[in-house]
Amino acid sequence: MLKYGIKRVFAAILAVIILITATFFLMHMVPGSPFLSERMTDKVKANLEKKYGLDKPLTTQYLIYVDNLLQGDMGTSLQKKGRSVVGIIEEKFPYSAKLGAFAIILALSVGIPLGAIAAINHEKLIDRLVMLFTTIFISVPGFVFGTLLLVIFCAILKIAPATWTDSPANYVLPVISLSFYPICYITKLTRSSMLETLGQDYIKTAHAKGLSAFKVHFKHALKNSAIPVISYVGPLTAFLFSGTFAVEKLFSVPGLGRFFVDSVSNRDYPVIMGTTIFLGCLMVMMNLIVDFVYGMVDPRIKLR
Amino acid sequence: MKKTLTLVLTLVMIVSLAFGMFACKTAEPAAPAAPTTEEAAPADATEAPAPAEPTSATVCVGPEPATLDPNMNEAVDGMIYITHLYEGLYRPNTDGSFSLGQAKDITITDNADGTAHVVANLRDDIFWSDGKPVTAQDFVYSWVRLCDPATGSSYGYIGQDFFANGHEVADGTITPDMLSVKAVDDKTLEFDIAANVPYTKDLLAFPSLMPLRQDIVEANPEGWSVEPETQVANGRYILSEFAHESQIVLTKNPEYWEADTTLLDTLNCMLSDDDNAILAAFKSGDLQLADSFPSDELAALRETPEYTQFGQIGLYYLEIQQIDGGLDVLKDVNVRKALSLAIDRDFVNQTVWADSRIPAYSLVPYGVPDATPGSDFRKTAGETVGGDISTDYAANVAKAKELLAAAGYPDGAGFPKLEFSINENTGHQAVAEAIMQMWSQNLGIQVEIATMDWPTFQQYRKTSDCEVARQGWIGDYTDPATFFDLFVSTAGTNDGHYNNPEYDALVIGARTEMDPAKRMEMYHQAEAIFMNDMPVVPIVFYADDVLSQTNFTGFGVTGTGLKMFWGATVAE
Repeated sequence: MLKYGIKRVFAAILAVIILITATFFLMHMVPGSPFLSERMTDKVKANLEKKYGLDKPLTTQYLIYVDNLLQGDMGTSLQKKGRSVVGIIEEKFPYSAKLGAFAIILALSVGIPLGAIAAINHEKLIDRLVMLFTTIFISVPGFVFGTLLLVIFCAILKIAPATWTDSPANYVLPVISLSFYPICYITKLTRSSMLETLGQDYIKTAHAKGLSAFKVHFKHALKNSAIPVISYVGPLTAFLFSGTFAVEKLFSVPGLGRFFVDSVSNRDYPVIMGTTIFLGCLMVMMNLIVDFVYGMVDPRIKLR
Repeated sequence: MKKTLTLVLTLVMIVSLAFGMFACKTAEPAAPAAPTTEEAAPADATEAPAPAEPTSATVCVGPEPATLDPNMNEAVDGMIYITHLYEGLYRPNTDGSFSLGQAKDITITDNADGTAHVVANLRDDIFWSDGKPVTAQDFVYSWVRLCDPATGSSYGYIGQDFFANGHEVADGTITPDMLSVKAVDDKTLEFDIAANVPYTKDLLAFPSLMPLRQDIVEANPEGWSVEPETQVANGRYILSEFAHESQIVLTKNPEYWEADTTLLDTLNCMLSDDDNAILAAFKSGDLQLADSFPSDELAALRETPEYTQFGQIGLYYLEIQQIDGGLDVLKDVNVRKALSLAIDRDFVNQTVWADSRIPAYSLVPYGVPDATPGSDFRKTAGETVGGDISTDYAANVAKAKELLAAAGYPDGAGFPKLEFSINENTGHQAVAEAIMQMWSQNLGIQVEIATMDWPTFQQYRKTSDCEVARQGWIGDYTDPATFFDLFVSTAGTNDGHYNNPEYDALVIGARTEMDPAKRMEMYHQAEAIFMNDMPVVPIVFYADDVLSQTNFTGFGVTGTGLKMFWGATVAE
């Protein structure tokens, strides 16, 4: 177990190092510069590149970056003047994490029971309805659904706030939009996994022993159907926590999501690196946790 | 199963239909909106009664600004915030005119060498928001910083063109502190400018030339402008809150020398670039004004009383790359003219902009003054200039075919495939597709559209790989110079590498020509040369589409995109 753990942690660190190196060189290979605008002359651009050390050879820049990173310095944004990358992440991540956490709670608390109910009522009307809706809506991207919510609740009914004031009401629509796809996916996942479990002999035994249907379904069957859901929730958590660009933009959430996308389209090198490393570490960590949780839920999975 | 599916699909249809009807209902035509600027009280009307209760309004004029540092700003939304926070020697008024701001008087005398000497006396009752008096040294500090190439301001050229020895500072022959500006004492400013141009007032009110506090800037050179604690300003408003990526709150500065003319106490600025979110916020009533919304909503929104179109001095055009080593055929003037004449500008205007822009057959947009007061440069010159182009599309196409044949490519035979590059945007895509069709149909020229992201595109369109690229320009000030200077052979903005010494001589000469009539005549000549060379293809003149609640009045919008809210009121 300990050996397995150490191995996993080393693999995770290696993954992060590769991520940093690949991102750094790839982003500099993309044409463009952070200092381009209609009014920018070549001379001014050259001055700025010198000021921010972008005129140095790429390998030198890389070594400087890694050196700074090891001291916890991710640099400052080249676009949003005077804002440190660490400061941006510290300021923006809580919004994204809050949204993500609510969305995951909602997705799990709706998706798992819905999937279980559908599986228990296999082939009955309720199962068919659940399957129909999840099949239709799983193909609707969150931002399309979000736009619909925005138009109905903000523009037409005028009951939801359209500008961001960080009030609880601000979180309702984005959380629903974000959790929409995971709800559908978790429902389907739980249903199919549960159906498989319900066909097992030990479930029949439990029924035969005279246990109540509730106990059989929710104590024995559901727990053993959880593996696929857990493996999905790990990366999903990292993904939702780190902010989702489209939904955050749509509901004017001042989260981290937009920085992933905007920094790339602005060639804001320090922000690209900072956000990528942050998301990468989060992703690697979540996968690590999932690996360990597997073992707890299903002791048959050998920790090698 | 089948029945359930039918039922559900029917339900979905009903809901979406009902939803569509709702959407239409809000877009029902009503009485046409009167442009609110016309009723706006002039900002310097001193008798304006101060409202008893604090007033506030929420607007959206752009996303998170890159900076609020006047020297460093290069965006229109940044210009709006800076104009509310700062005041220069002159200040803009809601009606687009300029009057004295921080200066109580300004005297301009012409020097023998064509340059001009300016003496400005500052007001005694002007203070920074931290209570310190505004001094002549604050102006000197800001102007030297702007012109210093080491500052890295992309608007540095504004100062370098303006001050008498600005170009010498730019190319490093003299040090920035030798710039021809001097604080004689705390309240007296003397400086030499390259020429007393008609837009001197515009420039002295321009965001880049606002005064700055050396102690504040140097304490935190990169970040001072976006923190409310260090954003020390001298204008009508104070930055009281800056929630990044969310909102900017500007509150009335009670210490401003004419604070009683600031009618709006609080201006909240929503920061967003999501057009759907902005439109939803406007429709919900959260926003009093918005200047951005999904472009496919334009046709419907135009019919609502909330919509007003303001003129904008901007040109949407195609740049044709003429650099050595580029595509040779594009150096042939007949080819460039043929490409320009084969475009149906009315059609592009209708399909892409719901007929709300003005088809452009020349360089300078409407709204730029000519020599005599009240005259318009475009109207004086006429809709078309140069010999070949007319507003008659059929005649243009016939002429285009002739020109292409004269260039050696009758009906496009043997003409290489053209690349038309754009940055990612549905509007630009639609323009490119329409023109691709026209060139293919009228000239037999095959076109390939290349789409790139913004930074790649900006770099690409200066290179010899680029053939035809989409371009746009909104004037910095209301004078023809802001358009003609773009295409001088040495200008950094001359991406297509147009080079005609005759054009250069006229445009550079016009900078120092003192006689307004002669000066404008030079620009008219330059425009005729330009349109005969057709180094770029004008498509349409821009306009500013603004949504404002019908009870929100008294704000001002200028042709350069500046929006002014201090005179605004929200009626109950």
